Amino acid sequence: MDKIKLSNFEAISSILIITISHSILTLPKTIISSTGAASILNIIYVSFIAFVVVLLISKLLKKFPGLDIIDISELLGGKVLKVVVGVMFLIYITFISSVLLRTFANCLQIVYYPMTDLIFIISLFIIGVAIACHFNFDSVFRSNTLIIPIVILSIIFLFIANTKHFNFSNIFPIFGSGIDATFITGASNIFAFGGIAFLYLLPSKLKNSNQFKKLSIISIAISSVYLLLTIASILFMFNPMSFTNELLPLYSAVRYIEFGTFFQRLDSVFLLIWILSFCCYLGTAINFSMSTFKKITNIKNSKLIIFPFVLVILACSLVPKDESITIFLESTVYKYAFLIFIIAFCLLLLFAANLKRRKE
Amino acid sequence: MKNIIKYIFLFILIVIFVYAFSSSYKSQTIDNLAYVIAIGVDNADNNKIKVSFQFIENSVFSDSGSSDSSSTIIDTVEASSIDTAINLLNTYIGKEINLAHCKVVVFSETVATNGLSDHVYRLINNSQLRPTTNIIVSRCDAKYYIENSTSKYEKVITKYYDIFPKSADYTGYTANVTIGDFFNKLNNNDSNPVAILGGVNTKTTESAPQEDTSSQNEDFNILANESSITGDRGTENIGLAIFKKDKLVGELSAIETLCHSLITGKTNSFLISIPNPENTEKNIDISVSDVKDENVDIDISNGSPYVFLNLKLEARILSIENNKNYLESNYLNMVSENASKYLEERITEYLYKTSTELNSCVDNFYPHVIGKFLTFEDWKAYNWTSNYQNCFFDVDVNINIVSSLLLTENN
Repeated sequence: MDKIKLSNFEAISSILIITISHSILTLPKTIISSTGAASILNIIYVSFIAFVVVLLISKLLKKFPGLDIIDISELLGGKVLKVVVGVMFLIYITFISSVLLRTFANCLQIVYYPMTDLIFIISLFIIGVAIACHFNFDSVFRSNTLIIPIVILSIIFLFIANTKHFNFSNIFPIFGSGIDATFITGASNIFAFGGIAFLYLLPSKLKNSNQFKKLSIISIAISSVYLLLTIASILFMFNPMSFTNELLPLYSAVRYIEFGTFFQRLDSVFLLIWILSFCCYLGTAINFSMSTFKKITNIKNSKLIIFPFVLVILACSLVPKDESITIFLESTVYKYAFLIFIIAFCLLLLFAANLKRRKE
Repeated sequence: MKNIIKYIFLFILIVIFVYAFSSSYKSQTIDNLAYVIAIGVDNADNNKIKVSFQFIENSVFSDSGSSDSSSTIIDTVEASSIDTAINLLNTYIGKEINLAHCKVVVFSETVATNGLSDHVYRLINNSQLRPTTNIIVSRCDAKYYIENSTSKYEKVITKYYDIFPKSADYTGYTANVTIGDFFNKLNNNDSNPVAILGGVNTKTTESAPQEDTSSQNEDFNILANESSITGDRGTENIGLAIFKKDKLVGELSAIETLCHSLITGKTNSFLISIPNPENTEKNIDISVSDVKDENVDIDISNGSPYVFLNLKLEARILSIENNKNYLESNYLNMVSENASKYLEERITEYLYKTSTELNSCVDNFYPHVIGKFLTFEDWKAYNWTSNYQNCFFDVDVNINIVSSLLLTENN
C-alpha cells in the first residue's frame, strides 16, 4: 500500500472529493444560515483564508520534503507524539466519514428507499468500498480522477439549468446577517474546505513531493470555485431569509430542473453521480486512515484491518438516535473539530517542528 | 477452501441485500402504485377537508385503449389533512398512492381563505411531489373543477395539465405558478404568493346563448368562470389569486394579471384592445411582440416608497380599418400614445389595488429596495411589507407601434 504514489491529478482529485462530498449534504445551508445574503461574500473571504492556510502549510512542510504530519510529529516528539497525532487523525477521519455517511444514507432513505432499514443502506456503501479497497487501493484514486470532472460539470449544469429560477437580488443586503457574522464568526466557515485536513497526510503519498505547494493551491482554487457555484445556486434559488431548512439543499435545487416537458426529473441522475462521489470519498478516507494506522502501528499489511475499520465507521454512523443529532454533529461538532484540530493544533505542531529543525 | 468461503460469504451478502432492498423496490413498482394526476382540496365539516384525487385509467396507455379523450377516476375522502387522506385512500383502492406524476393541486376559495400554509408545507415535504406542480385556486369546489378538467384537444389529460399554464407566455392572462414558487414566496417575509385562478364556466352548453352586455373594452376585465367562452370543457384558468402570507385576499382579472406578468417579466408577447384614437366607440387590437426594457426604481428617502416603473414595448396593429395607412408615422404615433396611456392607467390601477386595497406585494418589488440596506437587521427594521401600502406609483409605458403585420395599407 505504501508503494502507491499519486500523480498530481490524482492528489488534486482526492482533496476535492472531500470538499465535494460535504457540499452535497447540509454544508451550503449551514453557511447560508450563518451568514445569510452575504454567503457569497463569506465564501470569497474564507477562500482567501484557505489560501493563506494552505500557503502556510506548504511553507511549513517545505523543510520536511516527502514527510507527512505523522512522520513530522515523530521527529518532533518521538513515537508517543506520533501515536497521539495518528490516533487523533484516525478519530477525526472516522468521525467525519461516519457523520457524512449517516446524513447521506438518511437522505437516500427518504428519497428512494423508504422501506429499507438504514443499516442496509449504510452497509451497502461500507461493504462496497471495503471490497474495492481490499482488492486494489489504487483504484480509489483513479476513480476520483474520473468522478471529479463529472461532479464539477454536474454542478455547472445545475447552475445554468436553474438560472430561470434565480433571484439575483438574494445577495442583498450585502452584509447579510451582519459584518461580524460575515467576517469574524463567518471565518469559521473555512471548515467547508475539508480537504485541507488531508493535505497534512498527502506529502508521503506524492510521486513528486516538490509539487505539493502547486497542487494544494490548485485544489483549493478549484474547491473555492466549486463552493462558490454551489452556494450561489442555493442562495439565488431559495431566499436566505426563509423560515425553512432543507435536508439536502442541492437535491431540492435539482428538483426544479426542467427542459420543456421532455427532460424532467433529472434528480435521479444527480443522485447517481453523488452516490458515486460519496463512494470515492469513503474510499479516499479509508485509504488515508489505513496509511496513518500503518504508520503508527508498523503493521506490514494494512489490508487486514480494512474490514474492522469500516465496521467502526458503520457502528459510529449508527450511533446518532435521530437526524437532529446528525445535523448537529455535521454542522457544529465537525466545524469546531476542524478549527481546533486541523487548523490550530496541526499548524502549531508544524510550527514547533520547524522551530526544532531550525535549532538543530 | 479459502475461495469457497469467499464465495459463500459473497453469496450471503447478496442475499441479505436483495432481501433488504426488495421491500423498497416492491412498494415502488408500477403495479403497486396508483399515480395521482391532480389533487383537489375542499372544506368539510368539523375542521376537516375533503380531498379529491384524480387518477388516470390504465387502459388509456394500452394499445386497446379507447381513442376518445382519457377517462379519469376521481376518489374523494374526508380527513383532517392531505396525508391522512392519502393514507385512508390507500386502504380503499388497495394500491399505494404516489404523487410523483401529480400535475396540479387545486384548492377551493374557502380553503384558500382559511390559509394554505399547512397544506403547502405538507406537499413540499413530500419527496414524491415535484416543486414544478401547478397550484390553482378554484372559484368553485375543487372537486367540481377537477371533474370538469377535460380536453378534447389532448387525448391524455396529463398533457393538458402540462400545457395549459404555458398559455401565460403568449396571453399574460394567467401565470405558470408552481407550488415551488408558492412555497418560496410563502417563506419570504417581503413578498406574497399568487396562484392560478381557475373556475368552471357555466356557459358551456351551446343551447344557452349568452347575452353579451359587456363593451369591447371590458373583454379583458374577466375572471375565471366569467368569460364568454362556450366550449366542450368547463374549466378555464383566467386571472390570479392573490395571497397575503398564506391567506387568499383577492383576485386579479385578466388585464390585471397581464399587468402583473409585465411587471414581473413573465410575458413577452400579448394582445390588448385599446380605444381607437379616432373613434372611441371602437377598439384597436394591438399585438405586443417584445418587451424591450423594464426598469423599476424605488425611492425610499421620503417616508412613503415612491415606485418608478418604466416599460418599453414594441407592438404591431392587428385591426385593419378602411382608408388607413399603417406606415404613416402620425397615425402610428397617435396609436402609440393611446396604447401607452391605456396601459399606464391599467398598470397604475392594478398597482394601487395590490397596495392599498389588498396590501399584498406580489410583484417582487423588494429586490429593488433591499440593496439599499447593509444588513438584515436594518432591512427588518424598515419593514417593507407594512410600507408597501403607503407606496406611490409612477408608471411610464412607452409602446412603439412599428406598423401592422402583412397588410400595411387599406384604401
